[in-house]
Amino acid sequence: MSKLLENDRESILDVSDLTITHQVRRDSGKKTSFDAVHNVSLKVFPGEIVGLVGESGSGKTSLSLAVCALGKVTQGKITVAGLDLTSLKGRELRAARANVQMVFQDPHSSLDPRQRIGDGLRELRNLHSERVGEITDEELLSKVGLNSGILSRLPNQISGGQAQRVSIVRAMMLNPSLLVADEPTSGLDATVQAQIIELFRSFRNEMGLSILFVSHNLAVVRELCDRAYVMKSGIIVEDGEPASLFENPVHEYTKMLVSAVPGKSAELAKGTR
Amino acid sequence: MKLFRYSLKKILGGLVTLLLAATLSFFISRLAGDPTIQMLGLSATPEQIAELKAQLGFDKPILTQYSTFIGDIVQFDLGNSLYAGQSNISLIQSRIWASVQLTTLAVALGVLLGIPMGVYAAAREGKIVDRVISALAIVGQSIPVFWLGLMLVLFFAIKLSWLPAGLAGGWQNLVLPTVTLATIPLARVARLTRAAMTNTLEDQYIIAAKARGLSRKRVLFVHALKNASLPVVTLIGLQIGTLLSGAITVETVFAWPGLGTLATQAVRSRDITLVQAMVVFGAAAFIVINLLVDLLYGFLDPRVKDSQNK
Repeated sequence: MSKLLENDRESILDVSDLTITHQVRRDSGKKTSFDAVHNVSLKVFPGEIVGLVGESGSGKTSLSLAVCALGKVTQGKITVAGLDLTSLKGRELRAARANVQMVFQDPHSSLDPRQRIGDGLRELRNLHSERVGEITDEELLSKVGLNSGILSRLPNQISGGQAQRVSIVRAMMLNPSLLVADEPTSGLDATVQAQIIELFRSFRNEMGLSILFVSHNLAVVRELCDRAYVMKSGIIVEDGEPASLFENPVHEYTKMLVSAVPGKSAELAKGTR
Repeated sequence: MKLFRYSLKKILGGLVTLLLAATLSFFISRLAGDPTIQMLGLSATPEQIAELKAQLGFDKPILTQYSTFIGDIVQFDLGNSLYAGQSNISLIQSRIWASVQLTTLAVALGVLLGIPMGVYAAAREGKIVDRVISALAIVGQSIPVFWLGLMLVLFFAIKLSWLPAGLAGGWQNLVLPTVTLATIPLARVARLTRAAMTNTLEDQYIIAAKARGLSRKRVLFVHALKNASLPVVTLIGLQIGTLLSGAITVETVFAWPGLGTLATQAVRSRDITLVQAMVVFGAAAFIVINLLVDLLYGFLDPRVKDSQNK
């Protein structure tokens, strides 16, 4: 997307000069701090799927949590649908959280182990009745290819793919402006991965949903995303359209990421699929 | 069907434990020496001792005595006290209400204060509130209850004359022993709740619950506490069992007419049949409470309920 077009459009997510500093205690007991995210700026426009790639520890999850108003921000601004999340507190913050939903990497551990699937949906319906509207559980489940038989089950009684679909239903039923998907396919087998990716694509195409898609899988990012940011040690080192980004990487780190993709995935990253 | 089999298995396990406790109490009390000499004094003649032994059945072979003891237990007969001249069951019955009152109030106070303290400390892990609550819990767990009881008596009963120093009576008589006894479950419940909650609050479904815009209270008390509750419920069950079968120190300090003082009297007078009866009763109380806790798991954790019902 050209800079001119970017400036003309209103972004759904606007992260500007964001720094997130974590404090850790050393073995000696002394506290030390480091920037998990340093001076990062990124935008997601309506109906866009934007990839965020980088290896473990690059700051992707810290950034994702901050975008969902779940982490502490040291400096900078996060604006979602025109609302500055960093200035909100209490009830306003909770209401704003519902507008940015997250799908987690491990679907089972993101569901309360003692809450039946139906009870989880009911809880959200009661808390956010205006956001959820009149849509029934069955209608919600059918959108992700599940049937109502799953409502009485507990998370440990369903498969990983089903659990991830339930997580997606729970996120989507709140009609968020932005969906943050943090490695949503990494624990799933290839067939289920493809189905989940197709779901994200259909949400974008049919509902105009904006998605920040966090992944270390370049093949998936290339296949799904309109733009991508490459993150290393808390800094955005490169961004652009996935095809050009992965075919002609400029930054050494992006080159290394592309070259590190093994076998078939490398072909996918190079657009040969 | 599975629930029935599960309960049956637990009940049978409990009965085996009860048999072991009864067997141990029987043989260990026999190792302590001849109670008839204690009862009659050193000046008693061999004929008097032999007569008393025959009267109490202590002249029979040990295994015969043991089988009689176990057979009586099966028929809910815990024998007669060597000194009080009445059945041990009636002695226990005469004291149990006082112990139930004290235990219930102390555990309720400990749970009602301990759980919120533990939750609050975990929610503010590492902050000053957490440190203060954790320090108070350690003090509560380390402080000897006899000392605390005496201090409370000195201050509230003797110096201020607000409350009675001991003995049973109205609600006022319950205040000081309850507060003293409650420090034990309070400190333990607060510490365990904090530890369990600290682990649970790091789980991803808690972050997911916050992400869905749930209130802090709902995240803490509905999602986190429910998942952290199993070890706390187990501890509460053990505390009820321990305190019910005799809060000996507190009951002695406040001259509270419960099972603790009865146990002290039985030991002091070497009333071995009463001691055995109290051991069997204490073990039975523990087993019943543990069984109830096991069944409660099913209500707290639907995974347990589902696995029991399959």
